[in-house]
Amino acid sequence: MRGSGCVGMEVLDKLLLGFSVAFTPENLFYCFLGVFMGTLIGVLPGFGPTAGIAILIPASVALPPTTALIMLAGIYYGSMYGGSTTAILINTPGEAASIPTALDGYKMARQGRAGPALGMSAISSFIAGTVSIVGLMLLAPPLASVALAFGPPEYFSLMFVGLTMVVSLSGKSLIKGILAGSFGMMISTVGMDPISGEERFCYGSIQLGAGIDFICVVVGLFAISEILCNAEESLASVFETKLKGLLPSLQDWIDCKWTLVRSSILGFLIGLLPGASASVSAFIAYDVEKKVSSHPEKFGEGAIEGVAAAEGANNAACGGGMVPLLTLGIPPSAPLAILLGALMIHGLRPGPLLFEQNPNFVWGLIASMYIGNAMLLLLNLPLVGFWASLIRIPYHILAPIVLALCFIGAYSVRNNMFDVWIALFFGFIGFFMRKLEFPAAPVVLALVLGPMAENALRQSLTISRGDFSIFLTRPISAALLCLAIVSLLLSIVARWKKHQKAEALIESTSED
Amino acid sequence: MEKTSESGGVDRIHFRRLTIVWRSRRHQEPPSQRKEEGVMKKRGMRIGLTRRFLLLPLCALTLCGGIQGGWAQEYPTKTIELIVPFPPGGSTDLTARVVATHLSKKWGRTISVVNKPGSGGAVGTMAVLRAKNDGYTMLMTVISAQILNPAIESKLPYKWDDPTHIARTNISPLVFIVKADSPWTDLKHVMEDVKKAPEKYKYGTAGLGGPSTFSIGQLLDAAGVDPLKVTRVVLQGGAPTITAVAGGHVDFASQNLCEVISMIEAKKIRGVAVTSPERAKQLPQIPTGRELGYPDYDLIGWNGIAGPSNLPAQVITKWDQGIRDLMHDPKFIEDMERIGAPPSYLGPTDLKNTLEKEYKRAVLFGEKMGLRK
Amino acid sequence: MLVQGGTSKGFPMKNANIIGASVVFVFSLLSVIAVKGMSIFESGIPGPGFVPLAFGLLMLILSIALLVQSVMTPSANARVSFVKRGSGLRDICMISASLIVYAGCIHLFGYSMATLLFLFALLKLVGNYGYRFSLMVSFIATIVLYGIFQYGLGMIFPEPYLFPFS
Repeated sequence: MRGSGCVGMEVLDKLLLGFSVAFTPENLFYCFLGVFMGTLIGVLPGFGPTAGIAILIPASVALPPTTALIMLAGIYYGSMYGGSTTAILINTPGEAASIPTALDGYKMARQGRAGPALGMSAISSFIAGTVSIVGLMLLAPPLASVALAFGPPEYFSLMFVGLTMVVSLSGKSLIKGILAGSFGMMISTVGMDPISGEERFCYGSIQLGAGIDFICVVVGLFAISEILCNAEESLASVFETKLKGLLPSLQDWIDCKWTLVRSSILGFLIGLLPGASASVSAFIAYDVEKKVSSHPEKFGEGAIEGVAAAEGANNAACGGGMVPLLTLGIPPSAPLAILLGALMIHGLRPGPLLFEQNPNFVWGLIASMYIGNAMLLLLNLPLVGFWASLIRIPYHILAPIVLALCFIGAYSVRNNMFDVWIALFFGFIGFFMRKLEFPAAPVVLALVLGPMAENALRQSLTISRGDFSIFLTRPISAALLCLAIVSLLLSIVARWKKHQKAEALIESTSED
Repeated sequence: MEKTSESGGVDRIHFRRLTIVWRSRRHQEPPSQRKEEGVMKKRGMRIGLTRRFLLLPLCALTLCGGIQGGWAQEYPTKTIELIVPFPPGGSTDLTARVVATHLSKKWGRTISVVNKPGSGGAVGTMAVLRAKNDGYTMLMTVISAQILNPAIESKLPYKWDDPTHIARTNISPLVFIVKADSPWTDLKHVMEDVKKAPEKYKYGTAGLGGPSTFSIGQLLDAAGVDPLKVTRVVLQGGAPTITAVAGGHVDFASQNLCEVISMIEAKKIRGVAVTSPERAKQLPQIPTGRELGYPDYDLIGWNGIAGPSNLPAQVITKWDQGIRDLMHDPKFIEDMERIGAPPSYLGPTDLKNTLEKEYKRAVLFGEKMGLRK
Repeated sequence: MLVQGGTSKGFPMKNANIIGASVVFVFSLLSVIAVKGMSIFESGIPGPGFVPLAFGLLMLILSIALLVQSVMTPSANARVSFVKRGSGLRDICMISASLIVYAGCIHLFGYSMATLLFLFALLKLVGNYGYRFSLMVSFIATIVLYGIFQYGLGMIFPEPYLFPFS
């Protein structure tokens, strides 16, 4: 125990050093600038942290390295705060990580509870973000090797766990849910197959050869189709005008307290693994909450735990993702890949040597993340009122502007007009899917996880030369597969129970 | 329709209020726009507010266009787009950003880096080839998209010599890596073991084709091993490949120097050989392939600048001169070395000759490794 | 839940379900056919055709199940209509058409002009606002959007085909 005490003291010393670096006026200013820009970038649909950091790299070159990275990292985790805003208000998740937020958050907004949803997402982001920084601080070096233990078989099993969530995202009909998921898988195979280099379903078009980017599909399936559907009803009455409170109530807090703990830890752990860290962790945390909840039927109908789980997990994943980035130079996600580039432009090479040679930088950055998260909370809570009042703008004015934003967002993903047409196409598909009660979330889930699952499957079998037992003989992979089966069984039982409840409900209400 | 009349009433009020605000702000506008107003008044027309709303931004836009599109000055007279056919964050993207920053400063014109990723660089390359050849849409080239892919993909819509290759900016050597605790310390050992039982071993490559596949193929071929007999595990990119080596999921790989340094320092992987003709500055302890008796392990990645076909001579000279001057700029050299891309210049003719040789060799090995389609 | 038409006016939901299931069936059939030519297994290892074939077949089976289900479902709730006739349908068509025209206009006129036209059209035609109000809102919105993205975030918009301003 003495040893751990010493380690604790050592960490505290380093953290104090970090705060002394982060608390200079210049660093505080750029930290604020970063998180502010991040929030803005997160709010704009389609425009994600990847593009945001890339755009600000040139501007950051003139700054000292620590300051520059404090700002760029601020954009990264700041955008996770902002991403929930449009998901909740206009059902337009800015990125895949905010889709689970939209499932419940948007329902809450339509029930007049946009304020609590936004407030809870800011608070859970703050709590989970802070927990994950503690994790990053204490556990970075030992956890670094976790990422290495994950080879293709382990990834396949992890992705399989993720794909079983299609069942719990299915809505009313399981058949329609699985069909939607399979559709997502089919879309994900469009384009150049990365393993064989063969072109699939592109018929000679290099635009299709580049594959279909999931952000465009998200913009289409969620935002554009939402507006088309709302157009059918009288547009003016989309939102109940009355806003019930701006901050989460005491009951909301009580509902969410364990959710916050679970999603923080889960998000951090999944964030460690290279892959679709933030989005996978958000989906898994949402699914876990739904399973442990005493009222799973409320999920998807405006449960505040759903918002807290998804937002907490995707922010915790940010801190988790910094671990392999700083200790091994492995970026777990696209925005972190750019952050790695920024580190290199500033002459900082990640790795264990970075901790030894540049303690000021590493600990300054970590300390700035604490400060940045606190700033984000202070920035976002007052904004809740502002964002919530945005939906009081007449929908006839808001909707066209949102559509224009969607087009810009889709374009900005790859600077390509083709993506705008893709988004539009999926907007129409999404309209018909909604009308026929096909859920949209499984499509995007499969689209995000599908390519990783497929690649991992084929890579694993290449390694084992076609022997499928490789997934069961490796302990991590086997454990994950067991987890997947348990999760699948639980979801099916939950569905069955819900079905019975719903039937009872229909019988009792059929009189009116 | 009741709604219409109601909202009509409301918006009129709003409109008035906003008009007032707008009017008062107009007095603070810069002189150039006030001049516009003057012209309108001279015509003696009372242009309605609405029409002015429509005209002002239009005029502003045309003015901007007019000023920037002037032809009397020397190239460049407006913003240049430097297309990177890959997503942001990769080595090509970083190189483009460093080059763009330094050249922008020198020329006093913005050079914006625009990422157009997809299809292994084909989308971005085609975007440049289809653009006007006025020198305002340029391409950041890289060995894989410009040479290796056209060598193995007969269906690609462009050939290696379709773009006008202007200059090479930098090279990026590859490093042969094995797991840190593997018994292999010497490239010779590796090759001897692989030769004994090629089926036993697996190598990782970042995507199919590309320098990481070709360099291993050339090495195996030179060592007398049939490259097709060793299992090739195609991974999604540089980072997954290096992780797979470090985790022992594949036995060896050949990856960009700048990507492997961190993991070598973290003692998770071991570098065995490097492809550059001389030892790399960042990793002086690793011998070159030539030193170890494998002169064929010499494939070096590079980046360069190109434009659409039939680029005007003025543009070619400007860029060539610009890049050549950067080679003597210590700040540029420092920035490039930081991102692991040591500057190395080749002019238009030399570059074309080198690329032609490289292309022919790639076609040959593409067939040997069963990559050519 | 969104569909609560109520009257017998409009397209019956049951028919819509059957048509929907048939479309899914045709789609999956086509994709299974399109897999032809891709290798499913290459020396025991799944090839590029493996996943598309597997999910194509899964979709095929499920779509048949869905088709059967939607035919068998009693048409008790057939009164629920797929799309409400009247102003709702008109608005949907209007918005869809403007979206397509908008995307086309971006190619022709560039982002700013196309956005202006698009916003104006929707405000005027769907929102039923007056000319001046629509024009003003669309102007302000366009300028703000353009300002944020072009100048704030340094994004480069696609070059117009007709009037290449800069």
